[in-house]
Amino acid sequence: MNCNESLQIASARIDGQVTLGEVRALDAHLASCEACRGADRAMRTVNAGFIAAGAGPSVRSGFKSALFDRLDAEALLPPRKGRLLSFPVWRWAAVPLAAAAGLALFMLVGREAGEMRPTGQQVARQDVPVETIISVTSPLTHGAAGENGVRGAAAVARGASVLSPEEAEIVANLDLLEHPAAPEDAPADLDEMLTPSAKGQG
Amino acid sequence: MTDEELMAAFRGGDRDAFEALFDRHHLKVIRFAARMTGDPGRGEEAAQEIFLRIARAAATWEPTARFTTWMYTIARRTTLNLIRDGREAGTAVPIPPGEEDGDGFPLHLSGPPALEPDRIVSNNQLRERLEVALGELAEGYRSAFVLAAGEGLSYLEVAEILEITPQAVKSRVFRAREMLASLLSEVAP
Ligand SMILES: [Zn+2]
Repeated sequence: MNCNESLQIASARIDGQVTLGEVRALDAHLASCEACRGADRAMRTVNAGFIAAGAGPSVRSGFKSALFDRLDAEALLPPRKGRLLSFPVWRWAAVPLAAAAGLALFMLVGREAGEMRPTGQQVARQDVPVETIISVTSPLTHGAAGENGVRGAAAVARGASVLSPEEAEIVANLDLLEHPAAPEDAPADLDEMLTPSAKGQG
Repeated sequence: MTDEELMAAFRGGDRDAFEALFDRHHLKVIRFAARMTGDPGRGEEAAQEIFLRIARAAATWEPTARFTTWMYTIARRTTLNLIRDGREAGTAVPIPPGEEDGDGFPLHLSGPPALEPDRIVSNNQLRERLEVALGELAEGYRSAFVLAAGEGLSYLEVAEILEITPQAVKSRVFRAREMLASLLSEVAP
């Protein structure tokens, strides 16, 4: 093991990222190499100072409320418990909601068609509340309509022929909701982050 | 509940789950951003953006992915955007060509005997100098070092976040320590 290898392992040992074999080889090298002992000590010093310097970040009061205000302003969070659904609904809930709404429309259209030429089977289906059908279709609607805001779906289903403007917009924007913007716009390649003027040095 | 369970609950419409994730991780995110920017104020500014992006991107999170890996990936990229937007040209030290091979240049790491761990921890001037020195590292080194040494992530997890190999992480963290030690030894009493 040369000095460069041993110091890489010495650095990794500080992070707890070494094997027992590496530790033994490192210790054997350090025992006979004064330069590496000094370097090992210097690296530990750096680490101790670094951790001590930023260990407990201070957070200004109001940080959380400011953030959550921004999140609410962008409608990125579900509404607080006890609140009625207010548009816009969080995007990932809209897909199953629309699926439920679409199914309800289909069922209602089918029911109207059935009313024109009733059969025993179709008459029986008329007695099934639409909400019951939906609760089977979308697990989101089951038992937690108030909390999850899926009252909107039930409303869409009950009044499929009279969608509220908000509900219509949810359905109209589904393609957007299924393809949310990428979360990052920074380049993945770290080299791109290097200062161009400095990149040619070394 | 695990982070992943909370994330799934949030995606299922549970506001409290997001708040729990925030409570659990916001100090880490602020600390990470502050260390990356070298400025606690900007760290908070970055942390706000990071949590906004986490909420915006919740639909893209893969339930099989570890939440913290995903969170730090967003945190790093958001922070680098802020750094890039406000950076003065020429302050970053580059990663030398071939450096990632791990067998690059000779070591100059001995430092003065006075540079003992206990001493630096109790020496405000040295700590401030350390923060400045960190800002002089190339982002590639700084990200690896802050994530591994500062946040205690495994080299494997850091590799995933930085999209490099674990060996490259090991090399970058080592070089970061080496450069920081070298910069500190210049000011040590
Ligand atoms: Zn040696």
